[in-house]
Amino acid sequence: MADLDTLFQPKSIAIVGASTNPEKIGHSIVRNLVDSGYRGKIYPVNPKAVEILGLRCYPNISSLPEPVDVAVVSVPSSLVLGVAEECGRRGTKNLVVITAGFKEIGQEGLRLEKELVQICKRYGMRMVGPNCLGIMDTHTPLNASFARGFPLKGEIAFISQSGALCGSILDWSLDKGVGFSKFISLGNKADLNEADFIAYAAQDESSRVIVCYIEDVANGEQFLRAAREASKKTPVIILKSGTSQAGAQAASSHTGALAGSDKAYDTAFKQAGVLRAKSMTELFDLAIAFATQPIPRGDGVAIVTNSGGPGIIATDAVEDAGLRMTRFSKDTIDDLRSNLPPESNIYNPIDIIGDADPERYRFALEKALSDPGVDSVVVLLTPTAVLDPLETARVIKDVRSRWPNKPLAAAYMGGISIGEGVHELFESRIPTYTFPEPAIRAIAGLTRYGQFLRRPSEKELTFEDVDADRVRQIFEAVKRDNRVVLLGSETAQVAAAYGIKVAETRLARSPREAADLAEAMGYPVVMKVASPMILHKTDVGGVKVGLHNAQEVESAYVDILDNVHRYMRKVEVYGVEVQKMMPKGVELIVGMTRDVQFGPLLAFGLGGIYVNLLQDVSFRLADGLSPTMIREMIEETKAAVLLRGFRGEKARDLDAVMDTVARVAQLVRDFPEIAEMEINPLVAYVSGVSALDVKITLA
Amino acid sequence: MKGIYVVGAPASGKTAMSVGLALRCLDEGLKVAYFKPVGSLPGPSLRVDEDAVLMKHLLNMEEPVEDICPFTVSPYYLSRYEPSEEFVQTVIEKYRLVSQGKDVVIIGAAPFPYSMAALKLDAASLAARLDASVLMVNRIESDFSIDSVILYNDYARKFGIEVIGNIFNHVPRPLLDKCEGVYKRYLEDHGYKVLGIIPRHVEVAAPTVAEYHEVLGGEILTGEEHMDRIVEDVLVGAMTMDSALSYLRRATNKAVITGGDRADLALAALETSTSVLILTGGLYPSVNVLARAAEKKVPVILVHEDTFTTIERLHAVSRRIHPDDERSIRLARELFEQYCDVEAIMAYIRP
Repeated sequence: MADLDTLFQPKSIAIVGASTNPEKIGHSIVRNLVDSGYRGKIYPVNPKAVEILGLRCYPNISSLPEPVDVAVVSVPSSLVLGVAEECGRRGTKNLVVITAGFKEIGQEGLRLEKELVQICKRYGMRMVGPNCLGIMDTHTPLNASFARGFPLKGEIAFISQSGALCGSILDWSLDKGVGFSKFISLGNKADLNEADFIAYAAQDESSRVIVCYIEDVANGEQFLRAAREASKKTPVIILKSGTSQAGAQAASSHTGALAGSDKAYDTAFKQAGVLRAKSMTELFDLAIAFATQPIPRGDGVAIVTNSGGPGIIATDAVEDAGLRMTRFSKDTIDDLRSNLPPESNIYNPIDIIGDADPERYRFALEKALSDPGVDSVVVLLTPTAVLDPLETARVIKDVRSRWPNKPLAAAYMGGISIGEGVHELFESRIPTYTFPEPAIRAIAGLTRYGQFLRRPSEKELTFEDVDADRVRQIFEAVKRDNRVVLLGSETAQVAAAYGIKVAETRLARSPREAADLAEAMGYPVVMKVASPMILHKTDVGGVKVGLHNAQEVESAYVDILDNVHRYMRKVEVYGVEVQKMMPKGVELIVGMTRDVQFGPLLAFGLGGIYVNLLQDVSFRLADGLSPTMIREMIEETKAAVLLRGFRGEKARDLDAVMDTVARVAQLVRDFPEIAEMEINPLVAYVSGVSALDVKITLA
Repeated sequence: MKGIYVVGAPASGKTAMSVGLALRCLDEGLKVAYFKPVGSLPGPSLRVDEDAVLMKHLLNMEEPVEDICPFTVSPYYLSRYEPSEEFVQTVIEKYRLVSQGKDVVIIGAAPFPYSMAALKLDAASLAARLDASVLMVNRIESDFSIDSVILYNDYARKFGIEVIGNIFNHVPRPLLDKCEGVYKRYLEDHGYKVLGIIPRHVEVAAPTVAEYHEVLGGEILTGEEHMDRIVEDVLVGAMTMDSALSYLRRATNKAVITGGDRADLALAALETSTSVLILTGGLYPSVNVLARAAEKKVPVILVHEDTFTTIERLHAVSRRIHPDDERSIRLARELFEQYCDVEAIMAYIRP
């Protein structure tokens, strides 16, 4: 992990390109540093100025009295390489390159950026940016940016790939009263990227939650490692944009990197324990809750409300979010019944009705928080003539201080009349929202993270009885043949070498050979055209099933070749595959596509010809795939219901299905050259499974 | 002096065969000339027949290209030339000119054996008039290929033209056994000889990016220095991103045709084995796509036609051998030497 102490707690900072002109960025940076209360040395560098904001100016880096920990660079892009070189020679530890005009402008910029990284590597410097807003740390304090303003001190570390977004969030947070520990604008991520900062912030005592906005990850593997480690200690919440087709197109165009598929991001986040926010609103709704609340022990929620409607809305939201409305203990119910007005609802949600005063809130909240089945509490308030929102806020604050171990979120529903109360709650570190749903979502986020923390750590499932050498031989032969797509007879051998139960499949190059193979296998057989160029064999008349004798096999051979050439005149055909015909069963699909960012991504679901229609598919990264993860992967699909035996059908061999998934995972982990793989169908029987069609594409 | 007329369908490998044969003759100390009565100009930027230029260079011929290749065929050639016996006379005169003092003249055929038949300049008519023997080069794709081979041979026999033999060229690997075991037998049953079965070799068969550019025109946005990359396959990128990668991964060394505004598809293509990106509709891609392409050494060509029109035009693209393309020349010679019955061919040619 990168040691970034000297970046966030530097003893000295130089600003290269510091300016006396208050309208210039080079001036704002110096002013921000001074205004932030930074206590180290500040060295403005500008050959033409004598002093800036009362600080002595130096003509260049070499003339500084000491090597600096950080040089903030804000000179024209044509001068950046020279400055970086000079910084390196003078022993500078970190660069924050504000200057734009690098990768984002195209080839010439990309070349400059690569050279810049080379210079940093040569001198062992780390770099933020280029093309970034800068960095801030409220605990140091340090504002090495040209942002307008400086965040309030807090516990949220914010990392953003968009500099502009940094600016607006900062502005918003000052109005809202939300504090930050660190504020990091990633820029082009030429050297330091989100993974470095996530790893650093995770072990930073002043950050309780890490919040990111990203458009892509610089390096999937590094990101997974960092996020996995970080999540064990500090929650990581990420908003990743470019999820829609058009959005992904915009993101690719913006970052110049092929976005890994959104499914891969979703899966990677889930497996690394990262919480994914779907919107800006959710990102900060969650951030505020994580910064202030403990992690709940379970998924039981209690709601306290002074009005029926919002209570029901909140209850719906609880179910939607996968949480559970707690059934109170008898003691709690008895207590509530004897102390609340008879019209109240004493079951969850607790409705203390419209004439409730702050003390009734106190009572209900105390009862909810002390019930053993309650893990989190959401308090709802609608303004009434008899209720003082500010006084109620004070009561909530008081109750909270006596039950600090269960998370509490508030929805103060209204505007003008509740403003002071909301402010009081914020000050008291109680996450407060205008409506119930975001409050519930925040609790759901906390709960999911708690579940992640409680997951037992389990090892990847691996097998010894695999023959990697055999697979390697087959792949080499395919490459020698100048192909990337394997024939069915080849994939069957590959699968078999890894212990995957596959229907016997052999390649015939003449009608006679096909008949001989069929005789040896035993009837009935299936025949399929063997050509790497044909993706959908059935569509071109390339499949014949249920062949019962040599004569049928021989004539099927010629029929298939004729059909195929009729549809695809120029197709290269290697022959026809003869396969033993297997009985019917539950048809599944086990697939893998190698994601450009996160590596092998496995898919599991209902197979056969309805795959695309039903879209009943779940995903996992093959790396670190444990038995529990495979079981969960299967459980997420409707296929699980069929496997258990739907409507009186016999249960299928779940263990054999899991075994196949694990073996596919191991195969694609062992052979990075497998770019795509698909078993469809994998037929599950009462006992055992059989892979009928296996496709493999090499990279 | 022997005249060897190398005849075949378009893209059957006539030029490579002529190169291999010519170099072998030189090696044996024979005096060799090349003659191409009817040339062609496949790209809008071409002015002279490229085979004539190539062979003039290889054989160190002193005659100007106009003597080596007196006519060129074009879709509207009849508007240019009035029918007359003069054309055949010109061909005969030029042939006499280049063949003076030579042991062997290799005669290159027009793209199709029937090209310029209206002026009696088709391969069969000229072979008879020039008293040349024919070497047939045939591209093998399916059983239909053999039908055309037999038809051409029958035709030559009826004209009284001597056929030295047939070469099966660009044979896909899966068809090699069938060529040897089935096709060859059929030909021999008809009394025709098979003097070579040459497996498909990507480096000779597949056009380069430069050849695509010659046909398509368009602006090269990046990668000028990598125009010699080979294109084995053409894919059209118009799908959603979900399916794009697995689709693109199935083909190697390919040209990917997509809209300039599809940055996602262009980047996906660059993640896979791609030789050239052809962006249609005149839409400039984002600078990031170009930077990535440059990094991957993949040329990007911007054309103004829509995708469909672009694909239509690709039919005109074929692999040609340029005089400075030493690799292909060497390969043409190797394939000829390795897979053809060189002895039988040379025995016919040697004085």
